[in-house]
Amino acid sequence: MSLTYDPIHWTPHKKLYDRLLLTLAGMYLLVFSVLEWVWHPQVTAETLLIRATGTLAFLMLHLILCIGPLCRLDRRFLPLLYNRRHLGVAMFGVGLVHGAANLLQFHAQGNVDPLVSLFASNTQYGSLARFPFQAPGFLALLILFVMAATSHDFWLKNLTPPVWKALHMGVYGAYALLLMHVMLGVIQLEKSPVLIGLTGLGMFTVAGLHTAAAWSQMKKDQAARPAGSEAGLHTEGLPAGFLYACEVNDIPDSRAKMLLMEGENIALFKYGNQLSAVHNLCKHQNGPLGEGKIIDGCITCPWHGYQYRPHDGQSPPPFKEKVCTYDVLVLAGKVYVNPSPYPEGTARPPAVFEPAAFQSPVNPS
Amino acid sequence: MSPFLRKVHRYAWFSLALLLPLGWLAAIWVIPDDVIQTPAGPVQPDALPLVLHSREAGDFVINVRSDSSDTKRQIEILIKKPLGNPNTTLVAESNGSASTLGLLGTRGIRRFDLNSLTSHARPLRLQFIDHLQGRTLRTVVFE
Repeated sequence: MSLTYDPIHWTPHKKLYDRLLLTLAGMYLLVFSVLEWVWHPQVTAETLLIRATGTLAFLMLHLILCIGPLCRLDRRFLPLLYNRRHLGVAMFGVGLVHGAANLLQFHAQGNVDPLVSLFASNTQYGSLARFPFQAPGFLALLILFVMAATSHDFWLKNLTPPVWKALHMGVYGAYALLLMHVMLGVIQLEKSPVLIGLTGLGMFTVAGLHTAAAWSQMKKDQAARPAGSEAGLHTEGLPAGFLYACEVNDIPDSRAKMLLMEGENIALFKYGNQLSAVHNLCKHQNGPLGEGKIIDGCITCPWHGYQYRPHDGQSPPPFKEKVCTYDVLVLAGKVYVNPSPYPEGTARPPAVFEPAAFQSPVNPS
Repeated sequence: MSPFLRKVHRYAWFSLALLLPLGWLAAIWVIPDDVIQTPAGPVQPDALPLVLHSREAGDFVINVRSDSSDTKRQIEILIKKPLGNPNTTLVAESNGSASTLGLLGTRGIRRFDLNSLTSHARPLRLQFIDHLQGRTLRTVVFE
């Protein structure tokens, strides 16, 4: 992906991802259509289109929401994360077909503006049983439209990652709106226990995975804080500002230990007989650099492969991303880090230790 | 993800983990016992026993019925699909005079007893008219 508005740079992985996505979506629509015709032979083509696209979009949203926490819980799911935005844009496309078909079928045949009809044909907003369920569906589609429209890295760069990320957290609001759209809409009419069960299963799966990932991450954050009585304490004889981080042996070779020191999120990398510390968040999409590894002499982000040189936090040319760096000291097998960050891209000499004196743990690749 | 974002996500999901199941349960709680699937409509006259003519026109099946002595006749319309023009009126026309039979309404069966002026007139023209849009949608002629 590019930071200027260039077309998508297709890679073999992206092409495979998208082909798989289109194939599976097409197969779902085909199977759904056949089953609907068998079970409800009198169904019209318009109703079939509305049902097929609505169920497909809802299912895709569940899958998209599960990818994030699954990757946190098990790194083997990471390939699903790389092009998750393709899945999101496709899901919006399917949802748009569903919404447009509904608008045409139920609101465009009269003499009132379709959007006015959408919000004004049923005004029982004070009743739960008779709530105009189409309104939350429409609002969810608006949120998903904004997300799809800003999915390109161009917007990530120009809106800045914090704003972009806040915007894309709107997917949680969209999910809540869509769940109520389904529960107050088709469930009220169909009353099928299977549909109710499936909706509940999806909801509990998504909520459960997120809760489990949050719990797991809370424990990792606690582990990232230096443990022991020396943790975070200044040691006599060291320059001011240095805090104890860990033992040299605690860090596998070409890997990192993630630290939280005085509010700073730090990734401390060991490579050969050297140690360097950089800011833990990738400039691309705030991926955890500390969960990556050193490849070809560069820190490599596990999410999308962005790279940074460990001693100065700069991406190798021609790339221009930079992260903050920190000072590191090694003394008698103990590693100390100064959590005051240097400006992004500042070269800092790595801490050097005698490798023969310390045995590294087995690299958990 | 930065610690701040992680905290925001945690708060968001711990809230949703409580609110979503509540919403789901509330929606199940208010599912109505009876769901009206058959649209309401006016009381229909009983169908006369004999079908003299039957014609299919688009989404309609039009029958001309009579009693056994052919003294009374009625038009029976079977509306197969919801109307694209819901304000469709049926008008019977014969010998230069027109008689409005009634609104077709929604999907189902509608019957209209013909009066003495139109019941045996030939040809009998049935016109489907949308007065809101001011146009005749369809004309069916029984010779």
